[in-house]
Amino acid sequence: MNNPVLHISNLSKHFAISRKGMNMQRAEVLSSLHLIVERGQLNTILGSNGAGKTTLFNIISGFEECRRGEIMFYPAGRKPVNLLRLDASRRARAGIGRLLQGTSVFGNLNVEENILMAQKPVYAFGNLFDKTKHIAIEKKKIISKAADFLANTGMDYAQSRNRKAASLSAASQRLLAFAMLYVSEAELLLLDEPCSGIHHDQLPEIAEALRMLLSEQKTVLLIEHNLDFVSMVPGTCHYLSEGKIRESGTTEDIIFMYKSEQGC
Amino acid sequence: MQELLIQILINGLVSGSAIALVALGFSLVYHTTRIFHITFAALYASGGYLFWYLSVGQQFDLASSLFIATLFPALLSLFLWLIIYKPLTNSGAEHNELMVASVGIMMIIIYLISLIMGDDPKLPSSALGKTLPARYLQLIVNIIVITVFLLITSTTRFGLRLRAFRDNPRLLGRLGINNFYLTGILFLLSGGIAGLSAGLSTNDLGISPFTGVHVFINAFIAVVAGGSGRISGAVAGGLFLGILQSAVVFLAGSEWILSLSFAVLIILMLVKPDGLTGLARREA
Amino acid sequence: MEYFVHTAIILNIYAILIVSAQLVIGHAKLISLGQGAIFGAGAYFMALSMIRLQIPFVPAIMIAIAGNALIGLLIAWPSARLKGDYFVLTTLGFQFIIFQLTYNLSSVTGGSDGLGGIPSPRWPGLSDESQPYFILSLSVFITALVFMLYYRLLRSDFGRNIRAMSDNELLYKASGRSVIKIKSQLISFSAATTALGSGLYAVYMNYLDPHAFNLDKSILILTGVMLGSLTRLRGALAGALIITLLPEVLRFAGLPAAQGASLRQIIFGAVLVGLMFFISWRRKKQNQTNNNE
Ligand SMILES: Nc1ncnc2c1ncn2[C@@H]1O[C@H](COP(=O)(O)OP(=O)(O)O)[C@@H](O)[C@H]1O
Ligand SMILES: [Mg+2]
Repeated sequence: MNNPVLHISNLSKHFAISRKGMNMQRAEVLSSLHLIVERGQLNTILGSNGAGKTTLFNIISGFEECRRGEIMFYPAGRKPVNLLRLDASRRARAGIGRLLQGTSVFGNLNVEENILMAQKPVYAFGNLFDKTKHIAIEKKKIISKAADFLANTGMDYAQSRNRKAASLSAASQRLLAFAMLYVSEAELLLLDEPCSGIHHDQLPEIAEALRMLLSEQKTVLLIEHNLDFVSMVPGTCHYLSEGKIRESGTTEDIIFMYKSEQGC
Repeated sequence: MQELLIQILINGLVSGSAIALVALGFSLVYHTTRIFHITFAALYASGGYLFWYLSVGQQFDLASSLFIATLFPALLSLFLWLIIYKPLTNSGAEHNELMVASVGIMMIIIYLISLIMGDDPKLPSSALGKTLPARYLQLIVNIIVITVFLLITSTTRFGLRLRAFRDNPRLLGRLGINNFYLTGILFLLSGGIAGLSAGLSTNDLGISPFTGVHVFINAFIAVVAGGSGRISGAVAGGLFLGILQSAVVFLAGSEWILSLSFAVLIILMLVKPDGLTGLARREA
Repeated sequence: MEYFVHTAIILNIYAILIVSAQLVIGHAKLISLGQGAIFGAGAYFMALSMIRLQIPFVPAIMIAIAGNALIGLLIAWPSARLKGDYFVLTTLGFQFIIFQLTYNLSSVTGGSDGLGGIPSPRWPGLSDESQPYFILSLSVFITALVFMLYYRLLRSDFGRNIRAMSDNELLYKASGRSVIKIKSQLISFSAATTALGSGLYAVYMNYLDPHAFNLDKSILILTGVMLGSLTRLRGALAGALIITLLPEVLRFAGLPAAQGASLRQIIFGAVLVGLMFFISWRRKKQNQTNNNE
């Protein structure tokens, strides 16, 4: 224990205009939030709708501006960084992966192209003229790794590689998004509701995909409303309410607490 | 020296209030429907030409010329919403498609005008009074209209609905307030403001087919500079831009106005990325 | 025959302009109203280096390419950083700024009199009668080059990144890539290849008039892209063919020259509006059939 990968302290966030309803006051979403995420573990965040879970992820990813607080990220074998000082794309390159709520694949790209987007970006005009050998080898490696991953979760890569991602079923899209995170170099993955829009029968496949991410030594921070799913993948659990992490503990305990607070 | 400064300030207030009024008219539609309503520029031109035709060509008096030049673009704006934007939105047109359609309508109207009226600049008639009174008239009407609008949006029920509509159009529908009439009124008002502003400015400076597009660009920059999302921001941005422009006209000449506006936009983005009133959202 | 050669050269130039604009408007989904000005900027770079600096064709076109690439970065700088419709606004403003520059800086650009005396490249030993054919061959060669370049580009990592970015900006950032960077690169690249069309235009016409690069030209290019195809290279060629031939058809139809220009713009405007109705209607129908399946 005591090998954190992420250390959030004193994080506060408010929106200038509350977009819900017509009242125009300041809406405090996070207030002095503290959270420590241990390396290589699964950390689940529970909280009611509108508690600010997605907002927390957006601040970690750099999609939402935040000037108050500190988010220290400790990448393995590299210097720690305060994420708030970096822009979104630099944070991703530093090792923060993200599964967006809803669609998290490029719908107009085919499956193979989507997987290649998980590759570390090559700058300048890419390999426009010169198909550099090591990049080509790297691509092959990534694709075969992703194909293995998809096969393990019950999806045939060879059959779907040329299909547009938008034409896949919701579950296949989700698995593809997992595959992209699996082959990426990201160390800390932020998964925002991976089970939304997924049929109940397919939850074991998503759970298997999640376990495979963990087996790659990746740290996972998970937001999920589906308590059946959360019980399938035990780990550390946090309860977010009133802008703070109110309680941390085992999945079982926090689910119990969450259920009693929600009154069901 | 002092006279020069006063002159710059007055000219700045006139053109600033004109930009602010146009920005207000544009933002009525833009901030509620999110359509990049560049047809607004053509509505402006139609108002300006109609005013010129009535006051100079047909010798109408100032008030009735202005009235008709306000009414026509207002009705045209409503009409275009009904026959173009609304059906397009209903069949699920994307943002870019609405924008391109708007560009298309703008071209049609502007070139219809230049087909009918010719594309030479139309100068104001001196019979309607010297330029100085025309300028004061413009300033006074601009200020009155802007103030009335600011009061309406900040105090009345209509204004409340307008702000709610801007923040969350779907929610308003669910509350049982009719979007159809509200949007219609917005297009009507927006077109009317375009026409009124064009008439006043034509009375002072005259008009040519692309004047509306120039004015439109300035107004959009004012909206950005003011920090988008609030009408008062657009007004502040317009006044700021107008005063700056009139100073530059004295120093360098009027042909550089547009380049200056863009320089302002870029410098503002460097020093005050959230706009003058600090509400714009920036890309992370 | 002369008329055919002239039309063919213009067709090639439009093809270059449209395929370059397609990258921005079609692939990156950034509506641009400044393609005419970018075209003009390249032509003035070309003409000024040839006339004022006495530079021959090939290095001059290099200068035009480099100059336009810089202009692309200049346009991208503010608009790539702000959300929303700032790109279309910036390009529209840029359209007028370039016009004002070429029109008002008359000591450099010739102003409203235009800029004449641009030399044409010559093939040693070729007669005067063959000169148009030489320019035509040169145009076909350069156009083919540009199309090959775009063919490669769109299949490279760069092309994939552009499509990914226009598909989902947030996810694009989450994959560690910079939206600002790729927008700047693609806008700059498109402006640079536009300069090849500008260079051809300058040496073929031997004379530049600021009015040739006004908003009408930008709308014409936009219409060409929309009519042809937003993403297919073949479509760019088709778009170029239509906008080259439509004015000729109108002329044969016997429109008086004075009103011809205005009428043409009205027709292009109507085409744009009609096209948008058609596109959204077609998509709605497609969605309905998909839902019924
Ligand atoms: N861009 C925004 N502007 C204003 N309010 C927002 C914005 N994004 C989120 N909110 C508000 O912040 C609160 C938290 O939202 P979110 O983080 O999405 O909740 P959840 O925990 O369900 O993911 C909600 O009340 C929401 O309305
Ligand atoms: Mg959420």
